[in-house]
This record gives sequence, structure tokens and C-alpha cells, in this order.
Amino acid sequence: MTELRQTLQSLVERPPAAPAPIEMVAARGARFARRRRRLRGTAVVAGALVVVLSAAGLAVVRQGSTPSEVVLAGDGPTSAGYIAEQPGGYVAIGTWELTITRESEVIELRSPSSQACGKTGAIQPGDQVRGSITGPGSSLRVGERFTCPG
Amino acid sequence: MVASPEAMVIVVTLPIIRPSAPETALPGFESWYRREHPKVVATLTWVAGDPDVAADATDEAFARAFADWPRVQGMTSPGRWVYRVALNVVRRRMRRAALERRKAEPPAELTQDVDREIWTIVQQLPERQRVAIVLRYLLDLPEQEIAAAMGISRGTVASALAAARHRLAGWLTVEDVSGD
Repeated sequence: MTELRQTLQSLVERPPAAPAPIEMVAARGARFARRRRRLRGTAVVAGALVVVLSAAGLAVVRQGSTPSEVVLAGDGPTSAGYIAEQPGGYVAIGTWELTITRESEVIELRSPSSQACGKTGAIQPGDQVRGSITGPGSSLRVGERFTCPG
Repeated sequence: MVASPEAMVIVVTLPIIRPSAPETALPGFESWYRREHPKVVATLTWVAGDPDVAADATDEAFARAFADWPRVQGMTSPGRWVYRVALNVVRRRMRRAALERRKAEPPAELTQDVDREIWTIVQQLPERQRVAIVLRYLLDLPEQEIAAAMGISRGTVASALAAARHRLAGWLTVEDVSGD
């Protein structure tokens, strides 16, 4: 009768597959490393967004690809934020606050007048923008193609 | 005012970067790989019951070891690490391919190398018992290391081995049953 140990080990002596060439192992390893880096990168970005948005307690809106404007704060939510994909501007009425974070720079605008306008370019792609209104009848709109009077 | 699309065309000349061949000369990797490969692929063949699944899972485990070689090499036992990874890979493959419907007969390419009766009994063991018995008698691992490779407690390994030994009693020597 053949022993269990001897039968199991028979496949070590005559393995069913030969080792793949080391170049193939290296290439597969490199693919695995790249995939892992991508997954880690995605996880970090997702984590950072969750932290930023949660800390701000803001509703999130996304700027569309067609020229338009986004009501950042108005009749509905009193505060909201978004990450700009295109250059934009803003129009604000009443009492309001607008914070633009651009890399390490933070631009804070607070009711400089009852009516304020920043023409297209005030907001740059990549800017993290958040705004809120603090009084009744106020509104804050951001988006593209803002031209200010005068 | 938004500029017209024509006015926004920017020409950027990027340097040509040719993909370099992956580095294959990691110190110590190739000799370790060639030494361990037969044991890993044999172990996985018994566990999976399918030489193709075993070969692919073995390649995957060694590729991961290659990608992480400085860390893996520094471990107390790089071999145990590669078994743990390979077993996880093979379990995923088995679930995906529904290989749990075990084949009673050994694959054609193995009929010359394995005892048919033992193959059938081992393949019909529940997965945990099958893995434990293969790690114990193919690799001669003690219970503690089997537990580490399987990610379960030593007590669970002991009971899995006891149940498997009961089924395989006719093929065990006295030393196999008593020693660990």
C-alpha cells in the first residue's frame, strides 16, 4: 500500500508545471505592483474627499461640461462645495461667504457688498470652492461666463 | 469672456519615454523561486485538484513575492508567506470556477504520478481538512505553521487534521498518526 506522504510528495519530485521564466514572473510582479499603486492612490483620494466634504458638512454639486452656472447657495441648500473643472466666476447677492482653496492658497470672500461679482477666471480649474449664504434673500452662484457690470 | 477653442490650442512636446524591461535580477529571488516552486505547485495541485489552477496561482504568488521582495526576503520565513498568498489565490480561483465540485479521478496528466485511491479520498475531504493534511504530509509543517499559513487557530488545525486522519487512516504510518 502506498503511503499518503509518499503519494503527496510524488508531485514535488515530478511537479505538474515547470517554473515560469523569471522574466515572466518579473513582468507579472510589475503589473501587480502597478495595480496596487493605482488602488492605493484611489483609496487615498477617496479618503481625502470624504474627509474634506464631511468636515465642511457641505452638499456636493458638480460642475457640468457645458457652460452653465451652479447655484452654490440659494433657495435650497444654504451651503455647498465643488471642485472646479473649468475657469469660472461668481455672482453674489445679500450676505454670503465664499472660500476658494487653490493649492496652498486660501481666498476668502465675505459680503464685501450686498452685490458682488467675480468675472470668469476668479475660479480656476482644480480650485476647491465652497460657499454659503447667511441671510434671507441672499444667493450665491458660480460657474462660467460671468461678466461683471462696469 | 471665454476664448474660442482655436485660441486655446497648446502644443507640448513631451520627451519619449520607452518602457524599460522589468528588473529581473533581485538578489536571492531567483534561486529561492526555483527551490520553492516545485513544492508550492505540488501543494496547490493537491489542494485545488486542478494542475492548471495550481500553476496559475503559484505564478501569481511568486509574482507578488517578486513585487515585494525586499520585504518578503526580510521575513522569518518567506516560504510560509508565499504559501499563505498562494492558498488565498487558489481559494478565490476555486470559488470562481466552482471547483468545489471535486473530481474523483486524477487529471490525465497526473495518472502516472499519483495513487488514484489517495487522490480521490484527498479530493473528497472538506477544503480545510484537505489543506491541513497536504501542508502536514507534503511539506512536513508542524501544526503551528499550518495554522499561520491557513490563517486559523492551532486548535482548529488539530481538529481538521484529526478528522482527515480518520478518513485516511489506511494510508498513514504509525509515525504519521502519532507524531507532529
